[in-house]
Amino acid sequence: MRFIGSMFAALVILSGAALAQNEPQMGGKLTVGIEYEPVTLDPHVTGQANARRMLHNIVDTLVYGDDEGGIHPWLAESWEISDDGLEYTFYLRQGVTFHDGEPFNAESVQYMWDRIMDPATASASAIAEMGPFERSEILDDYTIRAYLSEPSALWLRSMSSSAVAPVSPAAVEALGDRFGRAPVGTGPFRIVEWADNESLLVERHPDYDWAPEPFGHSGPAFLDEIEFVFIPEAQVRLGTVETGETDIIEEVPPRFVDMIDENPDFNLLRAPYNGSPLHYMINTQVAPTDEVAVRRAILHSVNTEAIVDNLYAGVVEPGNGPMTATMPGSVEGIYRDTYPFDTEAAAAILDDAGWELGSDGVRTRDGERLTVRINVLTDVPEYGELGQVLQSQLGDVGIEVVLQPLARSPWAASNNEGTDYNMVGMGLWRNDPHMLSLLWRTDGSAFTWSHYSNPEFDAIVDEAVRLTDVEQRFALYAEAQAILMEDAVSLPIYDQMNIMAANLAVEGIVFDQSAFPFYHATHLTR
Amino acid sequence: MSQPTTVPDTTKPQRSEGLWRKSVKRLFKNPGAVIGLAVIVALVLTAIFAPVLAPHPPNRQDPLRSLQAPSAEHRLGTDQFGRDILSRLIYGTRVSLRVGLVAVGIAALIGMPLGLVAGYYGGWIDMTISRVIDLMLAFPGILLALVIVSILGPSLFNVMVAVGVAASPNYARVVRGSVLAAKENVYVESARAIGAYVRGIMMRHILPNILAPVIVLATLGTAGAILSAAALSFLGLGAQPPTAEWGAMLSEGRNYMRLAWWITTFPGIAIMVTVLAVNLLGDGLRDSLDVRLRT
Repeated sequence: MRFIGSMFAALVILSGAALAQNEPQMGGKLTVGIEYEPVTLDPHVTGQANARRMLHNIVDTLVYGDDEGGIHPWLAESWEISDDGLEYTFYLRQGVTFHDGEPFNAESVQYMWDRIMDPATASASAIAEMGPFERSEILDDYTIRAYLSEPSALWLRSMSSSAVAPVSPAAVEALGDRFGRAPVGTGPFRIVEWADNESLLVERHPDYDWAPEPFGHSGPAFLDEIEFVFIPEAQVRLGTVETGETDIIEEVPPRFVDMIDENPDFNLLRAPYNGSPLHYMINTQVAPTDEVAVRRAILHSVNTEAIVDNLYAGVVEPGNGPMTATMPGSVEGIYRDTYPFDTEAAAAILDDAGWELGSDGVRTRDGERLTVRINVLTDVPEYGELGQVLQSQLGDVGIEVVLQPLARSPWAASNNEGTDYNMVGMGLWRNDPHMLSLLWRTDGSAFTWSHYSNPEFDAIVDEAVRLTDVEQRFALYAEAQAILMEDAVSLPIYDQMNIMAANLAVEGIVFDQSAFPFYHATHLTR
Repeated sequence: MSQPTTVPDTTKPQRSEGLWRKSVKRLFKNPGAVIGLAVIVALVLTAIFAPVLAPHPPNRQDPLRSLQAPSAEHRLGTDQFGRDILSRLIYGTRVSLRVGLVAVGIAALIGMPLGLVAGYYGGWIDMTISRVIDLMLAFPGILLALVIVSILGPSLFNVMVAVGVAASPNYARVVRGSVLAAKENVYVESARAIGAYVRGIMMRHILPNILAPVIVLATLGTAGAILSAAALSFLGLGAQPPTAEWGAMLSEGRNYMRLAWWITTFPGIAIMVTVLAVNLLGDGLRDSLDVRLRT
């Protein structure tokens, strides 16, 4: 099944090639079915994937990162990096305007960086992209220099994240708290209306003329409008693309992939998400998973092959390790090489640790039951299903699983607090192995839900982020992955993939490094 | 008052027994009620003998047999985890019947004393209780239950409490109305005249005479309680996985409706048949116990 990854990459490129052959037609409205409504669309604040999916088309970034690791000019026409790697000078494109007509210049870049760094902004993921950023200096209207406290191999790439997108300072000041409802960027589409629990409507930014080279054309978008419709139920979403109510839908459940594939009226688009697999972060601070033996037993007990075949119809790959298999710098197969699926090994580890099997099938030690509590995000049905599978599989080795269903905000609060659960399922999509720091470094980010702290690991990832030599970096990250596996802080389930279904009239979708679609070059053939 | 009090005390229980027997006879002449009763008896037996009747353990997952259509091995097919739908339905009977009975029990336990006290004493006590009842009745039952369960946290037991509390004002209101009528009866007055304790009057003289409407309400309420509990479980607030509960089964299967109709269809039918049966019996009981039909 390993070849599937490269096949998907080929598919993505093919869709790009198809674009070049057709004479694009202007106009029309694209309707996109999207899984859930984000809390905010403020690029500097949000940490939600679905905000990104839409923001991609509303904001631009200084540089563009393609899906093969290349970096292209965008709002910055060129840049220089000092020999010591501490100073980045960006030469900005002139004549760029925000949706509100305000000019884009060095001041707006400085404003963005300062806003992200300001604790009052409460940035969930943009702050992590800023890395060792210290301050900036405006050299002239269209030249700005950033100073880092230490060299970073990924800082330039980080500037391609839609989290680090320039927004109109005037709009931020004018709208205040409401800016997240109507962000003003420089992107090819601007916001018309956000109807609560229903949809987001955007229209073409007519002055747009600065798309990066991989988009195939630089001028205004071909589409008049895009409507993103929020449809949480997977089958309903699927139904809307079949009836023509939507043109394209995100997140086709793997179970339905064959059905779409067999239907000649639809295209299936797939792009692997880089970053972590969908994995369970194991809390190292709360009993009984504060015990490494219990964590290791859990990793031996879960049959990810069966989960992938059963719940995901074999469409995705079993979880690779702390990072997905397609991720640069990832050690392939590290999870199963370290912890083969072996319930006997799991039982032996638990026996040795003094957890004895009771008559009711649950292990106990000194009268205490071996109970693992899992935080289950109720907004996404998948987590409920996975929870039940874990309940059954861990139950087979005598670990009792209690599912704690929580809505999004209490779920996140509990994860951050870290005192009331043993495991929580999540996936973090990133393009650089630096994501290991975000999840497991002491105070690494807002997502350190293993509440893990290991000075040895911290030292390695801190060293790695400073290196510019790719091989040396990846060697360090390989060590870091081995430590994480040794300490059993993550239970990888499967490597996630963006699977979309589109009707045949939709052409010219470009996927970037994050596997999110850009609709700037998209056009309709109907 | 105009009649002299000549009715001897000893004839009363006999007359009452005759009334009940007549009602039962009338009930059995009602084909709908008989069908309802038969289905309920069958459900009760299913619940009691679930471990014998179920072909598979209800929670056993089998990854190799997920989403299988009905077959000889799995009569009603399997769900996405490879669990046997028939076995889960059979075990689900236990949950649904228990929820129905416990919720109605809670509703009656809260509602009846309130209604008795309000109806018997009247005055400011009646005023206070009645206004509280009105307030609770202003909210639809399911909404009230939702609020209660959100406060208590999601679990099957909390759903029983929530549905019970939400239904209690109905009992209070019905009981209060009946007490108002019953306490004007001559035998109540005589009991009071000879100095009987209030509690004795309520329990011995009033309560037996107002039971008929309560029985009807409780039977119909059981159907409502089963339905509400299934709805709350569907929303994830009731039975927690992996408990086999009909509403939860519907909810878990809804993402697979296009691929596997059997996951949702059979629990849906089970809920429908059960609620219909209980309603048929309730209707039958109402007809047979109706005061206006007494001759």
